[in-house]
Amino acid sequence: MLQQFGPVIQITLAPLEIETKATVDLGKTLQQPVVGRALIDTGASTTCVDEAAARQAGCAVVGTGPITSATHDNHIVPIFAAKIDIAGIGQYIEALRAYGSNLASQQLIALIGRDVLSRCVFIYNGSDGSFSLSV
Amino acid sequence: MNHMNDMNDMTDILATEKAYLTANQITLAAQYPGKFLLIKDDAVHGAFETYEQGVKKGVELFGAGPFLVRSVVAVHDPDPPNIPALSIGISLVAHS
Repeated sequence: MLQQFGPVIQITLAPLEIETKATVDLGKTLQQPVVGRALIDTGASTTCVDEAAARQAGCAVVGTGPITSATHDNHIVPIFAAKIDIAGIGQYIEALRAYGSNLASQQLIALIGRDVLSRCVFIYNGSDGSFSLSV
Repeated sequence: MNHMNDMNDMTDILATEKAYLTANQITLAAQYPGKFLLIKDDAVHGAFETYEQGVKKGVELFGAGPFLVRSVVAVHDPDPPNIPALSIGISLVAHS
């Protein structure tokens, strides 16, 4: 399974804690976090989130920048600040430069790249088909 | 709001902020040397030691934004990140 599907985890995509607090303090309605799958991608220098999911969750757009996809060179996409809750371990990570992309077609809401992994311990054990991620 | 879209930035929701930063780089670099600036529309709303500090203040002030946090010494868009799975367009998750 690990070889076929890769290191996929269940996550919840939400705004940063400070954005949630500011929203509550202003008496505004919180948007619903988005639950979905994320692939841990050690080949990616930067984390990506599905743009529609990030917008649905209310994640802040903190910049824009170019990205290269299979169909477009250097097109400008939003960069989000997102809180990524990792299901099952009660921990979260903050991705402050998560590039928006279309990942829904891949049934994913995030690619966890090396910017986030730089703050984690990720162990891939292909021999027994397991992996672990801790923050 | 003074959005200064040019033909290259028609789809950039932060075109105004980027244009402001580029046009005023020399002045801003002198005023806020080495800082990360929080920019909304055509105004600076804070100068910070780190990108993270700028993002968190931006979220506090503007919620979901959009706003721009960028170093005063690197005002142009960075190179695209290296994400082979996207640039090559391979299927990321196998389908059973």
